[in-house]
Amino acid sequence: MSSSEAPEIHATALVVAGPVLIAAGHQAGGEARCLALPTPAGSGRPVLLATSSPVDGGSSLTASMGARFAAEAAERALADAVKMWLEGAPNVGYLLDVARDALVKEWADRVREDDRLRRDRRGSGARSHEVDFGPYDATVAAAVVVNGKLLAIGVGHGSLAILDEAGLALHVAPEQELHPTLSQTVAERLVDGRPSGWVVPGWSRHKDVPVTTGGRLAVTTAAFAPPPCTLAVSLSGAGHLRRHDKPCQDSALAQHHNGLVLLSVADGHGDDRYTHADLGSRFATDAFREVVLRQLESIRDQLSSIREGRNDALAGEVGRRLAQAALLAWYARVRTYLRLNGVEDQFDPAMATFGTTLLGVLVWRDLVLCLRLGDGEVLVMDGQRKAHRVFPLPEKEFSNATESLSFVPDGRRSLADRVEVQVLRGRPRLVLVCSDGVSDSYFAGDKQAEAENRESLLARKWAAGPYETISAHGWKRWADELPALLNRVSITGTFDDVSVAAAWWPDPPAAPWPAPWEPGALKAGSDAGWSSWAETLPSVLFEWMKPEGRPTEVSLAIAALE
Amino acid sequence: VNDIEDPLGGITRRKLHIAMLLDRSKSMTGVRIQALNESMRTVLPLLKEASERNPQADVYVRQLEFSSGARWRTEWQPIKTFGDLWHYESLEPDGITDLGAALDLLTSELDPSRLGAFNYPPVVVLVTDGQPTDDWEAALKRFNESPFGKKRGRTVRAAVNVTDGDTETLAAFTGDPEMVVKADTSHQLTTFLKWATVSLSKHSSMGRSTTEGNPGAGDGSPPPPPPPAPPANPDDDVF
Repeated sequence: MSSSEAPEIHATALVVAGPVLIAAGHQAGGEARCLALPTPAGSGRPVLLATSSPVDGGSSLTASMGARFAAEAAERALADAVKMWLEGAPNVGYLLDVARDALVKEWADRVREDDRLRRDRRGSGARSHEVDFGPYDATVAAAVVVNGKLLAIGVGHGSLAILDEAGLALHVAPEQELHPTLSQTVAERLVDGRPSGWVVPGWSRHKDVPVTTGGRLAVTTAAFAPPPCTLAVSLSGAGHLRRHDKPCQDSALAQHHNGLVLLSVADGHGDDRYTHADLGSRFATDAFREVVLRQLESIRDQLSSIREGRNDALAGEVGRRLAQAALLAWYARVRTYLRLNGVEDQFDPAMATFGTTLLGVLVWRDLVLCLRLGDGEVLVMDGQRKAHRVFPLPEKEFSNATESLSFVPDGRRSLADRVEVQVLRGRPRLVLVCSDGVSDSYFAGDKQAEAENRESLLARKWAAGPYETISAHGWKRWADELPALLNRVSITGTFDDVSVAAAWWPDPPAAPWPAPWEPGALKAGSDAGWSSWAETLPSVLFEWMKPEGRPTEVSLAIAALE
Repeated sequence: VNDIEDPLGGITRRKLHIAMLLDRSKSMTGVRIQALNESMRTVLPLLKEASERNPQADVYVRQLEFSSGARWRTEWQPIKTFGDLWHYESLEPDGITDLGAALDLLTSELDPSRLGAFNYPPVVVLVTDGQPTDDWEAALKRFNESPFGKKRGRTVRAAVNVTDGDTETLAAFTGDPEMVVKADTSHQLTTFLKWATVSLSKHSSMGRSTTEGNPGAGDGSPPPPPPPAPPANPDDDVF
């Protein structure tokens, strides 16, 4: 925690690490600042408040540097805007748009400079490269009340509140909708590594504010919601455990990278002739991860285009291209393992022994892109708490053969014909990918449900069920109980290997977030006097961050309006 | 427990059906029918044991006998209750070899509306020693146009020729000459029946690619039968 006070103007800025960060041994990485502005004629002494928070928690040095750059840039940009306005520039809206652009530009410049310095220190600075803004990513908000007018700028999910004497907040921001963070904003405005203009999304506010005695102006930013909780579990099926020579042939992974969530499950074929199926499935999930990470920014851009354009045809195209890239990356891994030489896209007979299915899911903001080659399933709990089985039921009445990464290119059916792509819109609450060791256990029930036009049994058991459990008891409890549950499903159902990769997004708070200082705290503060009240804020904020789904840290700047 | 909270509720296992088409025509009289009865008594416990080691499938067995006409001898019986709730009843030889009647019965039974929506490819084992006496070809055509029969890989078929059967007929049934074996002794009959039930049911229940032909992983076809063994001992009956 850091704090500074300006008693004569009653302002406090502090950054508080929440229980999650403390437990992990991390420090908060946010920044909070108060700056007294020159006193304009006919008004009280205004204070400029600026706060920022790292997007993905404050655990790294780059993250806290990113937040510091953001707060300093916001403070400077807003101070310049206020100065110009007080000097007579008439169009305050335009001034604030310029300030917001200046904030983003300065932040990007400082990140580039910091990145260059780090590379110089490592001795790798000579080679030109693209700066990865992601690790520095931050949200930022800055505000000032001057001459009865509120001026505010921000990028990302800050919150800004003016509180009345009873401590009830008149919230000016945050937005209901998530805004791009700084790195996303910069990335979206870069073409070939160069800025293409600085008309950036974000927010700016100016409005007339009735100044009430004893009211407070508070600015706080924090990650709007903590990163999603993710997990990936693969367990040997009961059938495989009985055969000691048969390893688990499933593989699962779950990761998130600056807002992009990646889930994948692969299931190596069980037939004895697929002698390398366990490696094949691992290579498949690794290959999927590699192709996503290798072109992370480009994929985000493509997903953004799908979002904005509501373009399902493009979604199909992006999905098939991803599958194609994953297939080539898988070939490369298999070839390396086999120590074979050859052209990368040439099929090699020995590859078939690595035969595996592949499921891949990308979640970007309110878009869920799902790929399937073979079987297994993707389940989504949507924002309306409705559970969906994403793919149509595969044909299982007659056979257990599936599509496979080891398919023989025969000139008749290409990968594009074999891979299924589905896109869902709307922010998900839970996404769960499972191998057929799980989904097949409910196949007969779902076949019947489909015939009777009822909801999917699998979706009820493995999306709605977990969601209810997590909502009631927390993610950790579900995650702890999952392996035993999967084991029971295997024993009761398929006896096959069982895998789950899942991501859960804590419910967003009722907008705006119930502020920790309302309604009682501020009133108590007014009664106790500014200094005594300010001293209680860290513990109030810490307590407020305890429930699951709250930010991992809070940066708060607060000042009395006079 | 609330339905939604019990993830195990509603779970069903995938079924594997093994249909055994057994010839009890007059020509089977003597050592052949005796060997078939004994082989069945030997193989069914082995199948039970194997299915316990391969538990991803719920294995059901049903016997169909054909001679002058055909009939199902049993319902679909779970192999796991063999020896406890059901036993093998010996066949008595009589009549002619109406293979076509047997195939028509099979066609009407092997249907998703009867077997359910969630199956491994059924294993169909034909044991016969004679020339069919009815219009088996039309019946086979009907079977090969049925939901399970019409695509390769939706059934796993094997035929055991008890010495005097017609190899071409049996190859037409299996669709693959390599899935026809000739048993000349009681020992060979047991060996081949074990392959046709135990090995092929395991093959049927394993996951694989849909790709026709899997170079390097074998060709996707079932495991070949074991080589015919010479008479194992003086007690081994020669047909």
